[in-house]
Amino acid sequence: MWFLLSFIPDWFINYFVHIIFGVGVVGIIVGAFLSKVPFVSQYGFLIKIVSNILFVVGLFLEGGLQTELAWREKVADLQKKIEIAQQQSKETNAKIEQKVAEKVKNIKDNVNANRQIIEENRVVINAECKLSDTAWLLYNGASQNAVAGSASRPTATGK
Amino acid sequence: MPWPEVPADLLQPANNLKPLPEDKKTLTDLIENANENFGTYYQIKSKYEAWQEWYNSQKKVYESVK
Repeated sequence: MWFLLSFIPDWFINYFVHIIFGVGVVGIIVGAFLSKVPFVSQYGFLIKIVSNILFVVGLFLEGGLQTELAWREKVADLQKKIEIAQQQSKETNAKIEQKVAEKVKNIKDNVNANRQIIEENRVVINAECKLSDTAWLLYNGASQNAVAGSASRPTATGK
Repeated sequence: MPWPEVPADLLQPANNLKPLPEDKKTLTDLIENANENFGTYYQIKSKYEAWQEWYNSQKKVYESVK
């Protein structure tokens, strides 16, 4: 039932509650005055009763209203914070994405540069060395995080 | 607060290191293969560091909301 209050605009609830409370206060004063005036004193008594009821209800609603408004303010603050946080999160992601892309590009550039140098020196590098089968197996075992067998009986057991 | 997005690059699976093909047994083949694998390693390292940065920065953002 109370959640329905959230659909009513702040200004309307504010006016409604203040009016009830105000009418209660004014009614008490008027009632007190009228109850002393001859001929209308019986109305003054009635006004006093109604005004007292309105005053009590108004006071209760004023308390409830302040609580409701305080909560609404908190919710609005939190929503604002969340919006800012979401924006910050997006900006951070964009920065990270850019940084990763730059790093990966640099790494690929370096790999390509090294590949070119290796290609240029292919003949010189290969002139005095050729890999044995055992070396090949051990190298692949290491790169695949698998244990190659002994040098005399090499068996790569990688996945 | 909704779960923060992760940059798409960081969700890509990591590449495996490449073995040396059976018909490639010269020293340059090995160096080329190592060169490529080192490149793969550094790419994965940069993404790993990016994950750490992502976690720390998102944590800071999350804590600023409390």
